[in-house]
Amino acid sequence: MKRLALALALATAASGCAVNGLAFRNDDRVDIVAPKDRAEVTLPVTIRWTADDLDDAGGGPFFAVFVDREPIKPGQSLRAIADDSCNRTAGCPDLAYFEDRYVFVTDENAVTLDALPRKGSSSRESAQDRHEATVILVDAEGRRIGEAAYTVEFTLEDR
Amino acid sequence: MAAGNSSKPDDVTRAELDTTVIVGAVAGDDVVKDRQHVEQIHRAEALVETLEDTQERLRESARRVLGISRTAEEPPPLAETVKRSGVGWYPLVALGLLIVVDQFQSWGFFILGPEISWALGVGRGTLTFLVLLKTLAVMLASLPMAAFVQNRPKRDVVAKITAFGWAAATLFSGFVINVWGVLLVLVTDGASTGSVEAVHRPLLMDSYPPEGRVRALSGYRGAAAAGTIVAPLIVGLVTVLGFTWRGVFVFMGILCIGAAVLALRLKDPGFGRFDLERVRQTVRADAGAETAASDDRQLGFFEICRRLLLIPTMRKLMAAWAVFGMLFSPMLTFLFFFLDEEWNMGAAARSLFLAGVWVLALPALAVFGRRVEAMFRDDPGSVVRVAARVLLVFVAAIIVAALSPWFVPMLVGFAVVFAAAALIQPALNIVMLSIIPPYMRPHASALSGIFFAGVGGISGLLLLSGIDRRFGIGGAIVSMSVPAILAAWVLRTTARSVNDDLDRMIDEIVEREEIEILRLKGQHLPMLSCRHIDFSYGQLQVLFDVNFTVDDGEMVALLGTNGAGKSTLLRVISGLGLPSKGSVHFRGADITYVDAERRLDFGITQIPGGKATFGPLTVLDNLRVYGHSLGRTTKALERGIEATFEAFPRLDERKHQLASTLSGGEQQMLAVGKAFILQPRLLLIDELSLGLAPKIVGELLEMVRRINATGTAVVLVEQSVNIALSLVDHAYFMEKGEIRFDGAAADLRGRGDLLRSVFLEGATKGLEI
Repeated sequence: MKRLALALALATAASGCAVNGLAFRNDDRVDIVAPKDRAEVTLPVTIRWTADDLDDAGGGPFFAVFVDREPIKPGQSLRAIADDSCNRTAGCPDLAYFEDRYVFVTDENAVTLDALPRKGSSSRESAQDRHEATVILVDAEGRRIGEAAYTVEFTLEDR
Repeated sequence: MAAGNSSKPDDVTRAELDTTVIVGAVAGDDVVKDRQHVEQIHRAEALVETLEDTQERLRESARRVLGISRTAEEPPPLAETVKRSGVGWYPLVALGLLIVVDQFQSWGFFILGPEISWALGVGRGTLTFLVLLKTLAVMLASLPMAAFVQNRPKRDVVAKITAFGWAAATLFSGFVINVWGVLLVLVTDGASTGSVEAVHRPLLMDSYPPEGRVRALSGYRGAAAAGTIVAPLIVGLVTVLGFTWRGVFVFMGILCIGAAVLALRLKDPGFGRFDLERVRQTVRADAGAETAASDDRQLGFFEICRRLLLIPTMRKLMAAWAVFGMLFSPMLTFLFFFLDEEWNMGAAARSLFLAGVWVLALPALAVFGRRVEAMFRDDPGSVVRVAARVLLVFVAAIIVAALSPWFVPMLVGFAVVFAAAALIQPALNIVMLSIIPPYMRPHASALSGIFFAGVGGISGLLLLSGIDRRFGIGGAIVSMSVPAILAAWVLRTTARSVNDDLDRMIDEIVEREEIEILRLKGQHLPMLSCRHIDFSYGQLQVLFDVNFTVDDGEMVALLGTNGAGKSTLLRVISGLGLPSKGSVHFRGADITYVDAERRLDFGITQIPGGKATFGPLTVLDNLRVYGHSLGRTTKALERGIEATFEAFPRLDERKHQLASTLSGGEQQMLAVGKAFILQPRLLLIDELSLGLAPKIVGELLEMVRRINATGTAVVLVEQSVNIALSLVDHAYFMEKGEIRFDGAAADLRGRGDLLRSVFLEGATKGLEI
């Protein structure tokens, strides 16, 4: 019994921790310049960033902007966002599919949001209409590169 | 002694027995013999009563050695007290360092939660759930740790191992890559943090003498506050230096390891060298003895927990911890939202704010510690009253802070709130840990943590979430004043019982030591001695100051009207019920709070009235079940079963029959078989004759007499006076929960004033008397 517990603990530790490929220093290659953090905005809102020293080998990187949702895990593909029926359909997911779910994939340094997700009436954020956009890097296959994530928070004025 | 008294009839009719009582025709020799026997027991009883005089005499000096001088004089300087302790500042500094670094991981996840969520792609809801699991681990781990160190001075080992445990968890938090890793590091940290609740404060209490303990506890609380200031600053600093959340955890983990290494010289000073030992020495000096009490029958883990919750002050303090937790545990969460929404503060500003509001707590604790130390020396109850007043300050400050439209009053308001919260904890801890024996402190400390974070924290979170939805975050913060006022009220009522409970603890130590001294001096103590027993079913008190004594091999009748409390007294003796006051000693050992199962091992067996058999089991299986406590000693069990069948051949004939199909008399025979199997030192029989034919009663009584003749003491609870007095020399009579008669059975026969009530009751039931 003790051995089993030890084995389980070690397996959990092994699966849950790693030493390679982890980011201990801040990755400042991307910097969101607009809107300012905690700024008040009106629709449409443009999220703009600068990007330096990005490795463009393999056709990437691309930027994926997640609005009011957690980004995918490092190494995971954007396909993880798609549901089963989409995955069974040829050509799905595509950019439009992602945009419907407030995930914007681009190779440019800005995205413009014409609409923002409506949150549940009981959620604290909806009271002030607060939103959050997270930018991550993905490769040509749509896989997340590294752990770096860049976030900005903003409030929508007079919705 | 009743055993072998051949003048008593072996097979009698109820009418014959009753005639004996009414006429009171007992041979003169028997009366003299009965009286001599009871006098002998009363002499042993008187010896126990001298203990009460000793307790009263020594109470004041015991209080003095515990540092309660009943004067409001200033305590000696802490440096002097620390010097006298022989251990110096080290335990306070080492434990203080540990409590500082213990908070690093929590703060890391609290502040860096969003970054962790973005980096790992783990939802914030999931992270919040995992942090809740950590809180659960803290609570659940503290009790096993208390159980581990119980009666074993290894608190230092637990403190050191767990410090390395949370250091590793903090360090590895920087290396997690998925939700399982997060779960592992959080639960490991939580489980090891359980030691903070279970062993840190008890260690401090035993490291320093009573005259410096409030300041030691305040210093420790100050270290915790310092940790709350330092942790967010470290997070901010390491982040500014260009490190990610992983770098922050690695840095904090290294600091944790450093603190754990610095604490390696911690030593457990043993239980109660400054209190328990001092009181014992006082007793020994008074008795001119040099012996020490042997701890041969220590309470088990659950017995200690149950015992603690029977102490009035402890119950109220637990309620106060729960209410205090209700307002304080969710406060950090709600304050974060409050600063975010009402003051538009970002994560960094909020962390700095939280670090800043704790600063006032440090000087407040320094001043308060010394002041409360003096108060505690004068009157420990006054410390709880002060805590209640501090809570009212908390209420005023939280209202100002939540409603202020200006930043500075808001900041000052919250600084006062946090300072007040910091002050209350050492005040409650010193009272809680001073009114119980040292070996129960880890349990009390762990339980207080559970009531604070578990009961209070979770219910507070649920309650305030509802208020937040209805009245907004400001309303939720202001509403915290309601539980605060409730906690203040609970504390005010607690103050009244503190001194009584402190005296009770002193009395218990004195009594235990005195009994040990008497035993070593070869004095004869009664086999069973119940002293000043009070017992309640909920709010209904049914026993009042009951004294009850049984000597070795004696047969005693416990008589009284229906509802007098006879069966309840048996429950207290057998451990099925715990008294709210008083003590039960068996063969010199205090068994007041010992579990019923353990009392069985000590040799106490009860045959409950009218429900002593298991109906769906066969006769044979019933007897085997009675012998389950004999464990694997099947030979003893088989011998017991044989003896039962020999005594009651009718049971042998029906051994494969279900107990429920037996007649009432046969069922009682089966119940008496328990005594043949367990061969107890003390047999408690409740209502043996109820509803049985006189012939059967005669058979059963003969067996009881035989059992008694083998040396087993018997307490016979009977409503039928005639039957009982035909068997015993010594009788008690109970009425309305009080002992109204304790003396020779022959003398009770002459007390028509007492017996009339029983006869009348019998008459109304249509019995022949």
